[in-house]
Amino acid sequence: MAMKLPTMLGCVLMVAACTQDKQASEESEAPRYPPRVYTVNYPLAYFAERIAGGSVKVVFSVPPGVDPAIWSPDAETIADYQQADLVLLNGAGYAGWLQRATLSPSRLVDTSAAFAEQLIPVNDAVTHRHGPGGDHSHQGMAFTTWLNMEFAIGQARAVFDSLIYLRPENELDYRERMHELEKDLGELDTRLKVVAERIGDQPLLFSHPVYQYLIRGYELNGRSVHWEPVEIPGDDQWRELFELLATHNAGWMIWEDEPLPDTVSRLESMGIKSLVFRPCGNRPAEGNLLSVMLDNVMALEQAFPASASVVSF
Amino acid sequence: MIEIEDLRFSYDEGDFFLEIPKLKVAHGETVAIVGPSGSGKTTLLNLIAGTAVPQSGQVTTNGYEISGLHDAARRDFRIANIGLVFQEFELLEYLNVLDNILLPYRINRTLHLGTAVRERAEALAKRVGISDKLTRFVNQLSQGEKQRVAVIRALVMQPPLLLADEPTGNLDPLNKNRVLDILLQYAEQNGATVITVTHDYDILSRFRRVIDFKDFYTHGAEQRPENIAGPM
Amino acid sequence: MRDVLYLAWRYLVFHRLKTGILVTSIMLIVYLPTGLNAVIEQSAEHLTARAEQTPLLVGAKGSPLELALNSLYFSTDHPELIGYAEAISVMDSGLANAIPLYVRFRSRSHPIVGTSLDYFGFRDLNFASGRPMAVLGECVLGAAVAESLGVQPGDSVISSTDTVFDLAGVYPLKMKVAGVLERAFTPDDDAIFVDVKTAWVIEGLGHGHQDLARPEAAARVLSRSEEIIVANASVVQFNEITEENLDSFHFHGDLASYPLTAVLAVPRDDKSGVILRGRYTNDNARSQIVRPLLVIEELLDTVLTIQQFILAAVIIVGLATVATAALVFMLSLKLRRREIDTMHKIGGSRLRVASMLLAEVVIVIVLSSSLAAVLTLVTWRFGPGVIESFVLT
Repeated sequence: MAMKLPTMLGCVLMVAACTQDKQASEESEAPRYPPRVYTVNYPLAYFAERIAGGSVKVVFSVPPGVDPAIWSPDAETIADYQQADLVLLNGAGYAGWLQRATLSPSRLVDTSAAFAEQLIPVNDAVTHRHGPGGDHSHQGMAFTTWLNMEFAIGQARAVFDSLIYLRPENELDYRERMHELEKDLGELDTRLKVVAERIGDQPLLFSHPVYQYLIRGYELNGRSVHWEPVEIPGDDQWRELFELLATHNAGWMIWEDEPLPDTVSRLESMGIKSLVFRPCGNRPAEGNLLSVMLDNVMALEQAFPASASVVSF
Repeated sequence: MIEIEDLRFSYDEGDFFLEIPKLKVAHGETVAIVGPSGSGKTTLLNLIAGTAVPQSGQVTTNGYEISGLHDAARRDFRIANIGLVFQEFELLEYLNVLDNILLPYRINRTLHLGTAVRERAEALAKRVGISDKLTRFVNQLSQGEKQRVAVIRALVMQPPLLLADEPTGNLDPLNKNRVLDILLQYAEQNGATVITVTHDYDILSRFRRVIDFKDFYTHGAEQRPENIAGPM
Repeated sequence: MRDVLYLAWRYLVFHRLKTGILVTSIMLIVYLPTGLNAVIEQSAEHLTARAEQTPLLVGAKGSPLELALNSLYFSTDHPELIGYAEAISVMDSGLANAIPLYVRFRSRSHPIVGTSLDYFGFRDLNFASGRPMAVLGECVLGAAVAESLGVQPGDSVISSTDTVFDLAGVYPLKMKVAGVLERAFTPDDDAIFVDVKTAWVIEGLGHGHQDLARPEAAARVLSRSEEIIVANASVVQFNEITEENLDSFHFHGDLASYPLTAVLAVPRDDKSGVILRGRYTNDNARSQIVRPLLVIEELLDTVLTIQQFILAAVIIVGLATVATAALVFMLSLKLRRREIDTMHKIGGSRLRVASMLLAEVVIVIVLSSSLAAVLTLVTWRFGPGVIESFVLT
């Protein structure tokens, strides 16, 4: 009560001054050129690079020698992905890290969405049950979609569409380059179809279950084992092979990469020849997706030459 | 100093009236007025102070006929000439001792409350022995102290005329004498006139002149005053 | 004038109890309408501003108000749930960007807002420190949350289970703080933002656990056949997502069926907004689209009506108070008759004494009005926050 009048007025003014809201500082984000396009595997990066030329910055962060399908980036790398203007996804559950990462849904492009219904389910996981959630299994989809060149073209188109959306002013250029790319992939498709025709229903072995789309797309009679090219197969794996051969008498084993010579010679002693068909999920040490696929096709063509096909008639 | 002639006063209601054909008090005189209750002693003080106005007759103080002045002029005259002391002290409970003493300066626009006045107030307080109580509130004082404060409030304006209405009525003998000492010393030192209404016959001896209202007052028109001048 | 004010002030100070009661009652009578007005006006401004910035909300059919309050201010009551498919459908329409919202869980009193990165851009939220959440289990804190919990990037916060006791399989999740937002003076300051997938992990829809095929889990396996392993509920579910166990986290079933409380739709342009709204007019649709601004304006209309009633009551009480105060003053004049007489006698003019009494009245009025003004300012500053937290929790 003994407060003096001037003191009281001072309080009023002080409170009035405090109520001035701090103005929110507005930072305008400068447009970033060229836009950055991140991809989860190399084929998509290749498509983006071919279509966009230098007009966007294509970033593919998976280190060499690592399979992008099972790669798991750290939080800092994901933070980089968050800065992307566009993130090209393979779809089909490819790159499991995506379901554990935070990325803007509006910037994600599922390049296999157009043919989602034709994806191949795989069920090699154990169903388990605990708690109230009921049965659940970790079932997924086969994801090496680009080994079917028709799907590869579909994915390239999705890349093309999203790039046009990103930089509409370049549509004519993109369309021209897309045409070229489609032509290249189309040629591969044709040659694969031709060689597949020659292979017919001859049983084939695949060293790893990543060729589902090649097998189905080109109607091959293929079965897979779980062998690594750089590892010597154990006794269990050989036994599994013998069991498989009993019903599936294959003359060729198709490898993801150059197999060990010992494995090759042991297989040869059993009458199974080896050839390499690289899925090329990661960036190759030499060449590019097209050259690797050309090598793949040529390997098949050499293994199943046209004359052989004629002889069989 | 004070001359009253043919004065007649009555209140608006009731049958009381006061008639004083003639009364003179000289400059520097100390006068005690005695008389029964209700005889008009206090009324006389009010008439002299100008807070009451007679129906007829004249009250002249220091050469001014105060009864002929209008309200504001009477007030200005009072401020300049008269100090009042009341039986019930009439101090303000919400002011401390110093503020009570200085009250006349705060409620009169014509007076200036300067350092000199404050020093005078403090000096007076020291003289009557209450200088250590200047910041106390009235309810923290004894009766004697209260009356001393009331007296100083009257003296601080240095009036030539002091009117005191039973200033010792509520005091014990010791304090009675102290208050009288202050009043009479002031009168002596400053040549001031003091008129005191009292019931207390013990203190009459200290005044130079005693006016007994019994001698000259009239009440309900039964008696006429005969001795106006009173004992000299 | 100074002396008059001084005497009046001394009188009021001496009778401080009486003065205090008088000042308080007059202050209250002045403050009630102004404070109420401040609260309502400010709240209306806050509510409207945020509603204006939120073009469209898609949610389950039901109370639009509940949908808007939950989505805009993260109120505790959440609307019926919709599927993530709604977000996909808005996105696929090409008409609008869809920002999912799953506002259901809390960490102590702070709402956990499951959303996408786009939310930060949409609300113009800038980072004071750290970065957006990047992986499951990371969160971003509003400025007020960081301040009240005293945490910074690198620290952790834990989701609360108290509001979700009815959901079996819900474990408190320890979340790592990835970033802290700058203060925005909106409900975002009080929120904890996570990826909507992390919110699903809190709910137990996505989880990480021991590989049941491995020997360490043997004790918890009830039966094992070729294809199906049944384990008891004690299978160790991770209540913290770390770099080591991150890869074991997974979601079962179709994400499109996963729950959301709302989808914030940001139309590309006005026309797209109209077309999008048209899609939800079908009576059979299980979801609705609302314009938050309309919902909030409707709410404010109701509030304004109530305010009118309160104001009328306050005016009546105010008149009564003024009458009582006048009575008190007149009684006190009567009690002070002698004091006033004394002042007159020792030379105080009538005007002077009246000025002193008037000064007492003026000081009381100035004091109570100033206090009411201070209170109103304080209310202006803090009232809406208090009211909002009261209404929304």
